[in-house]
Amino acid sequence: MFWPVVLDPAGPNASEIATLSWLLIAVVTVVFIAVCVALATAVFGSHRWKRFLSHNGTILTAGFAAPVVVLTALLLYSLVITKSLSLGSEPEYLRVRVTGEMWWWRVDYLDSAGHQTIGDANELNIPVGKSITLELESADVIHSFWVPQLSGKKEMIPGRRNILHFSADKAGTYAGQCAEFCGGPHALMGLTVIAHQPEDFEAWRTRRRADPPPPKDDLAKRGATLFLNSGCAACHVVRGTSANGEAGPDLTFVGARKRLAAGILPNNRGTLAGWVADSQAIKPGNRMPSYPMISAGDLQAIAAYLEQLR
Amino acid sequence: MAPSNRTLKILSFLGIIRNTLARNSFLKLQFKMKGAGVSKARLSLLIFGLSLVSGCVERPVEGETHTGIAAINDLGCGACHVIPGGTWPKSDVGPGLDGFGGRNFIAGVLPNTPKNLAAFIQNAIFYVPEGAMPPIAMTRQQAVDISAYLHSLQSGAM
Amino acid sequence: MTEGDSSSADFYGRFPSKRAGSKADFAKLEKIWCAPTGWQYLTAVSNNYIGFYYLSTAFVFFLLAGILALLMRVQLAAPAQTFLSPAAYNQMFTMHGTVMMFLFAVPAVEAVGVLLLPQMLGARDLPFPRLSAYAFWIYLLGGLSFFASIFVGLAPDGGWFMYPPLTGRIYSPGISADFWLLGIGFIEISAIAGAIEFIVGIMRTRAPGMSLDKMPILAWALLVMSVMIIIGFPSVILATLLLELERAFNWPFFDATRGGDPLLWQHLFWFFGHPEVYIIFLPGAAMLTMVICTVARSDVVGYPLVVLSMLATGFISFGVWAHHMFATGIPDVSVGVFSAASTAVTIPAGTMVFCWIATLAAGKPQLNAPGLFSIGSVIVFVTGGLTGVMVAFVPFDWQAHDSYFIVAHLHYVLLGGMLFPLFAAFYYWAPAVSKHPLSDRVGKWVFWLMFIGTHVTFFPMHLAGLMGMPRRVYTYLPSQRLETLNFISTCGSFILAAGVALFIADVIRNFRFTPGDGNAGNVYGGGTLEWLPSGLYSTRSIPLVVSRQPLWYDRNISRDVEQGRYFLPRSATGLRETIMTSPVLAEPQQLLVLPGPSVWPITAGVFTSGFFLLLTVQATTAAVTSGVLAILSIVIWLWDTDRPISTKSVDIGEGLYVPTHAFGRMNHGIWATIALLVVFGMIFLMALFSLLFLWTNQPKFWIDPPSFSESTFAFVSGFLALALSSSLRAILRRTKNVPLTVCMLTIACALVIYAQYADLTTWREAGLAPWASGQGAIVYAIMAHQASLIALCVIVTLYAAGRSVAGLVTRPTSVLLDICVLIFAYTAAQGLAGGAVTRLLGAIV
Repeated sequence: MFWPVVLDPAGPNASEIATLSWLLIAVVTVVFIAVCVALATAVFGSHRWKRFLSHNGTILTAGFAAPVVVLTALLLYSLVITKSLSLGSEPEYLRVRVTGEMWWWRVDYLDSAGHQTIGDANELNIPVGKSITLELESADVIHSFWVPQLSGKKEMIPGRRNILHFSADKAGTYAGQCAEFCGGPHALMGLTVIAHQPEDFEAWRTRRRADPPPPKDDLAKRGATLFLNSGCAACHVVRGTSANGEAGPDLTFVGARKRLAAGILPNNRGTLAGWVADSQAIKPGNRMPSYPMISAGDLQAIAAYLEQLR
Repeated sequence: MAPSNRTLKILSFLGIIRNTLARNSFLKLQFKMKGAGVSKARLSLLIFGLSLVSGCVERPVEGETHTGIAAINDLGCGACHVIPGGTWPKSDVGPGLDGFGGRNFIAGVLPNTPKNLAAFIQNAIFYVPEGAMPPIAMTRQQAVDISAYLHSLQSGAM
Repeated sequence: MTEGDSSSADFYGRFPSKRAGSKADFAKLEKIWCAPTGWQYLTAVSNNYIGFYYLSTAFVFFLLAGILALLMRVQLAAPAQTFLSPAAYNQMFTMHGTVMMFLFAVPAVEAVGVLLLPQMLGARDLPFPRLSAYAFWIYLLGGLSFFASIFVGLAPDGGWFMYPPLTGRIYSPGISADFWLLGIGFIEISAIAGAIEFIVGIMRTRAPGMSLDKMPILAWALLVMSVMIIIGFPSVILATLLLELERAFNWPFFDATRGGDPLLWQHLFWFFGHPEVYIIFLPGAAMLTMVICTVARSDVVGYPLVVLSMLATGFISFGVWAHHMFATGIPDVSVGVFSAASTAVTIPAGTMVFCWIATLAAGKPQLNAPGLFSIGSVIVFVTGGLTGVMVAFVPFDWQAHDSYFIVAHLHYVLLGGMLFPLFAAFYYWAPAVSKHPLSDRVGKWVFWLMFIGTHVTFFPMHLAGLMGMPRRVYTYLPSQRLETLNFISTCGSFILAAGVALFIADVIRNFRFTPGDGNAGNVYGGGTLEWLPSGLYSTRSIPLVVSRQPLWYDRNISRDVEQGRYFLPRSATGLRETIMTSPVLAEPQQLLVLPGPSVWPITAGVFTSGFFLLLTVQATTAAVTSGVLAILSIVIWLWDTDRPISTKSVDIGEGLYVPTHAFGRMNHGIWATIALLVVFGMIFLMALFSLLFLWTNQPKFWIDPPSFSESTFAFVSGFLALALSSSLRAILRRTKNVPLTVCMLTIACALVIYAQYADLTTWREAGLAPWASGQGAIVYAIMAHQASLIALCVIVTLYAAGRSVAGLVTRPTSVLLDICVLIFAYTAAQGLAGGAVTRLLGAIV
């Protein structure tokens, strides 16, 4: 699809902005054509028209009065929208803290007291039609949260907490990306937002509050042991196990994610294996080391274990 | 008519442009595969010419090569293999697949037939238990198409 | 003669003189301004040479940064390419932006000023030729070594606005960020040197009769630009100093965990960064205006409107900086104010566009190369301006910000507002400095290639941005569907490059820089003074200006000027000289003797850039040595200026006598000192803003400041220093006793030093360390700024003492002591203000 996502909104925030965008596009197109016509007339036009254009009154009307009127009107309209967008309209249904990290997103679903109920990464699940509040923070440098089909962007700045209110009005999957240059593989810091129907969301939330089921087959069982014993657990959390490293993304339900490696890879056992073995080839500079010395059997086992975390 | 190396070379260069244009609803381009595989582009004579060349080689063999390469990209086979025509990623955890069509064996074990290959890519560990390639969830059709695409790769096509 | 004195008007009637200038006088003039040979090209200071060097260097940087852009476009031609590594790409976009903004755009407009302004104003040279030479050499040496960092992979990679904490020492270890911070240090110096030069030059060296309302538009633009540089650049100077202090000494200005704030950098950077865009645009717009006048054969329609628009733009541009920060979560009220200001700043631009259209309509525009380039500029600029209006509206900006939409917008604005006008200027003014004009036929090809290339490259970027492509990405994935647009952009960039390549071919074929040997002359039939017949001495005689297009107004003016029938058709003192005129009406007031070629500006330039570069590579001892040598070179170069002149008053034509010295306020040295102190003052104000900002945002890191009673000694000695230096002004008016004055300066010096020492001691006793918190960092930074001014005081005191011993301070003709007093009074006042404000914040919680 070639249609600009900014103009293909899936939520009220983005809709408001899309409407404003269309208005602005229309206005600037008209002005641009008018200026070009005036310019062409000034160069090639008839004597009468040229005299009209070279009048001081024309300059003041077209170059001063007209822009003042048009811009004032547009400014008032845009400020009204600005106000409503930054306030958020309905009562808050879901509050999530999204923390920008180099180069992935930590996603913590919060309860009313602000405590984490579900930890996740690189994927944000929300119910359709409900008001969502994001607490945007940063763990290192400045990042910027941008899901064009749902909302404008908001930066994540160390030492600050920015609030973003938005909601989705269509179920679906929406791509986002970090918009503020954050060094290294900034280009590959993607995000997936999945909007569920409210009842599906509740089911999802119930599932996610529980621990993932223990591995069933032997290969996955061996993978679980390897995961805990060969260092993965130092950086990653898998709830219900002793893996509690906080440095990297939470992998409790990694097998259920749509994409891997912050929105950039399809998620299957093959890509999981490829990522573990040589993440640096795929996302150069990212914080996860490649494991070139891992044996084929171990790689099979870990990939199998991760895939069934769903 | 088997695609020559030269045509494949051009294909891999033009693949990007072509794929782009084929998806491109904004420019209202239409590519239709017919008989010998002539595609029509309305954008310009140049692109028309280019897509003609690339259309020639995309003849159905067993599966569809062009859906095969699409499946390769959708599944992320590049996370382990460098594959000519594959867009992203390009990692070399596993062997590069350039010239795969000319190889005798799959993973040094199975005779390299389209049927074997389609089975292997779905469940490699079954055929090569000591290998690193895990079983990958995909449809039978995807496997057949990928197999067809890989078989169309002649050496030096990259 | 004073402003508004009617007697000068009586004199004006006598020009052009009945009597032509003598051949002997002319020969002498040629000899005094003779062309350099051999090594003398390095010591040349005349604007003809320095301006040309300057412009050529800027153009080379344009090409280098352009090549980086092409490499980036190749990388982005298709998705997921590995032509450039992420590290290389990140360095390249950082260098592309930095080099284009700091090493090309600003120097290029300054270079055009240096090259053309004196001729355009009817002056023989700029008032401080050695300062221009110095500014050029630090720019050349510093710029080249800065650029070289990319060849060794050490180029900065944090983007041209270098946001911390990414550029702090944790996330950017190594020296690449230091290259940026110290590397643009000399660009800052060179820009400010140029600005001071322009302000004094434009206000004081215009040809007699060229009142402000007859000034060429370019002079107006350069004047506004210079004032903007003096007000805007200090902010980035401070920002770079603070970040360097944080990186080198761990002073946490921008570290949120220790009472700093990353947003402080953004405020400081954009307070400079947005006016910077207009610093580049205004001279571009002015060049455009002048070219349009000539190609349309009409004086500019709505001259007052253009001037007012430029003033308004300059003014409003200081109130829009936070529109770069709409997505940072700044309060709604600020967002509204900055959105309104950003909208408002487009209105003067709109007025200017319609003035250009009116001027074209008033005449019969010729579609030659300059004509095409100027019409093309208007179209490209209007496109960029309109997308600028779009992003001024906050909700739209939330989507467009940091996306390729912005990349498209800023390139349209800068290409239309500066690059196309510059190419129009190249074609238009080349005959003024070259023996042959550039080819008009080739020029049209250059135009069409560049014009088409610009749109093909940058228009698709609007769409790419709206499709979700963030800026500064080294690649994008096939799933993002961005490949078509990017492929088109890449094709466009090569069309654009082809245009530039063709231009270079044209330059190689036709351009011959021979300033001593005549030029191609007024090929396009321009009406302003730079088209008078001229040599290295500028014009043979300095004309009386009675119209905005003197050459159109008086057909004989070229002949009369050439025959020496106007002012100063000779050298009155046997030295290089120009006429100083009054600021508003440009009535002759003084004959200014100009310094000639000297080896010291280039020496000082070498050591100054040596200082910054050695600091970057952490060779501290060598750096300090280099810095001391730089100061010594400057002292030596100044030593043989400001000499007593035996002739007190000279005839500049038709018996109009003017003095060879100016006293007090009318002295150009005093003007330059005041401009320099404004720079220091702005740095100080921005430092106070930083203090206030951190105090507001990080109050929990604030400790109680020392009370005023504990700091009595600091304030008392500060007040004494202020009182002493202020009373010195009055004393200087009455006494000619130089040694006494120098003694009193020494006492004042001791007082400010003691005040600073006492200030520092009380803060240390209060328990504040610079690395402890944001408060500590900024308070010590304010004291460090004061210390650098005190160092300046010490240097000028020693210099004054040395000169008075050598008998070179001859009151009242020498203004050295007046300059010292100004610096002292300012330093003492700043010390008091700094001490008071740092103590007040925190005392009032």
